[in-house]
Amino acid sequence: MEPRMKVLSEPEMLKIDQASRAVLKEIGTLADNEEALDLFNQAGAHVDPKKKLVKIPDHIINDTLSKCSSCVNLYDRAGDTPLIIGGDRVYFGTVGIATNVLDFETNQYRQVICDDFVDIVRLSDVLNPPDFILVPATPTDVPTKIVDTIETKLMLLNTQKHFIAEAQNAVNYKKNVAMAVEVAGSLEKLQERPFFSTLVTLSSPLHFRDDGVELIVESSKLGLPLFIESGPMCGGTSPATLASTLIMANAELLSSFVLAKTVNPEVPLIYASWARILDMRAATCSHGGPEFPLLRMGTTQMAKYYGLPSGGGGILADTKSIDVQLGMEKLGTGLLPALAETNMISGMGLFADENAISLETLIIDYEVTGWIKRVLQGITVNDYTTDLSVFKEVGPGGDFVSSPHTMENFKKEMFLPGCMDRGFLRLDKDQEEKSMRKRARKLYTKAMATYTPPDLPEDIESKLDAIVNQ
Amino acid sequence: MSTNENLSRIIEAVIKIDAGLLDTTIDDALQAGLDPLMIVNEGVTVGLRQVGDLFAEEEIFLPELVQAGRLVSKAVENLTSAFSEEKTIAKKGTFLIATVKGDVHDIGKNLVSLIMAASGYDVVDLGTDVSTDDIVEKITELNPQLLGLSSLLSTTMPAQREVIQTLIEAGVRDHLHVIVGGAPVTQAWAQEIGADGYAENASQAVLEADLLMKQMTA
Repeated sequence: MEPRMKVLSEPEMLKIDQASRAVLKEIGTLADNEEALDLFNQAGAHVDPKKKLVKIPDHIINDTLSKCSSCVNLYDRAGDTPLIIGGDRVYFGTVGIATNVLDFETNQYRQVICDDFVDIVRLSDVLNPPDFILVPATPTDVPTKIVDTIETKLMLLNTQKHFIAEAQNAVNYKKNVAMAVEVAGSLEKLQERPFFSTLVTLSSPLHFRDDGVELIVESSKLGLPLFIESGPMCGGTSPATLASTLIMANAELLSSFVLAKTVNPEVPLIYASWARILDMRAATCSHGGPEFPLLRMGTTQMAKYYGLPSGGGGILADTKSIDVQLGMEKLGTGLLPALAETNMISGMGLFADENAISLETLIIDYEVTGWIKRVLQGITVNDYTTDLSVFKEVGPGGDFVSSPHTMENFKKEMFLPGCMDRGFLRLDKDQEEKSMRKRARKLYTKAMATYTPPDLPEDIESKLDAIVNQ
Repeated sequence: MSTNENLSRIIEAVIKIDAGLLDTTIDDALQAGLDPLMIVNEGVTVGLRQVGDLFAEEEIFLPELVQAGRLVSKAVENLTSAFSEEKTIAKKGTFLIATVKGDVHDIGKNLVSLIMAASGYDVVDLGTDVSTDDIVEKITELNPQLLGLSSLLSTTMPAQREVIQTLIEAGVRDHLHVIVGGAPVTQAWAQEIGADGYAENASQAVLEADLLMKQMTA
């Protein structure tokens, strides 16, 4: 069997569902945006224009869910086979609002610049996973007003993989689309095989901001996929129980889905969450403790409860250096959501409490995902894997290393690490020589040697620049 | 096709661990008039050494190294048997190998046996947990040029020293080159116990053996 794990029972999910619906119906959500109020009104919700409060009755939630697909196809630019987001599939991706990078050469923190962004995107392009690239960092050497469009431009120029873009408003979203259309050839081609999605981060508690509304509306109009995530902080922007934090995340996501589906019932939506805790000592949100993966498993189960594709944060770390804590946090927050079958686990490369990224951590996370993927495969027990003929062939006292059976199977059955150190303790050698960090660096050089830039139309860069600077 | 091209193709076939391709390239080389000895020494064994390097660099895996070793052994055997007695390919020397007393590990030792055999040595493998007396007796009987002592445990390493001491006492140490190896064994340990050579892995064992044989004939 393939090992899988749940944290909520059916009755518990029903309880979260009922509570979320009650929150939306009785308490409501704030929508500080005229267009959102109009749309909720159009959907049949009870809108108080003065208080800007929207109360959503149950039947609208049901109606919205009936318009949702159980899977979303995310295309890349290379081929016809999309990532099918939904069901039991587990994919890993980058993420990063980080503005700091732990420099590969100096091992010192400094601000992210566009060159770092390109390096990270290219490394993400050659490693597998990441299966998709969620904006992996925020360059600080470009004007803040257009940084999102520059990120999109750099992703278009440097990777074939599906990417999730961010945009701070409708204007920049439209620029993102215009650039993607330039690369795709036409809007129709982009709509047919969308090679980028858009990230929407909802604000907690229960509050629609202008930017979120604008992105939901504009992307829905075009039918381009949305990765909508809700990230309430347990004890900060949601009540101090994990269950209530699930209710908060769920209610916020359901209300955003109502908005999107009112604009366009066909818009592909991914139910994603970053629900976390507020660390009561440091007063920051923590992404590396046990609550984070528990919440991710919970939000994933709620997505599955409604038959929706799921995603959210995972493989994350609070630690500020590449150390023991990093390994512990990355594996814990990556493995558990994977066991719950979170379809899109985003976090590769990011650490330092969401504030930093590095090429090294991206490679280490690549190793972590390999480890996790092997666990997901479980132990295959069938006639082939239990065949006694190899026992007979080698016999008691024999050697299985040289058996053809080993040659046939070892790569299928075993995780073959790229940078974990497994050698013998050699007291005559430098113990750091083969340390994970050193090996990660070696792997970087090797991986990057295989990088080829995507095929792009001629003069594309100047065309994209013109769009960015419009 | 030039001699070098023929040899390069053979080397490439070994690196790819492709039995079919290796047969074809050897046939082509023989057709082109290459000397079988040259095919062995400058073709297949060079390829195997490169495979050994790839293994040491963690580019390929243990079963692949074993398969390459088997492939090359078979190729060498075929090349040898294809010719009349006066044209046989002479062995580089006799290599006796054992895992020392108290130690039952044999994966590394088997690998060394295989790669040494594939590299042109006449290999006598005494197995694992072999007593010092048995090793010395075999040395006296077979009079090999080389002895390999494997030890996978730090607790059995002293047995390597014991063997060397006993060989001296029995008066058979002088014309014998002893190479020690195994995970906990180091160059410093080899020197301390009076071994002639140390090998960290199977392909290193071949290099070390070749070097010692050269010294012997010089």
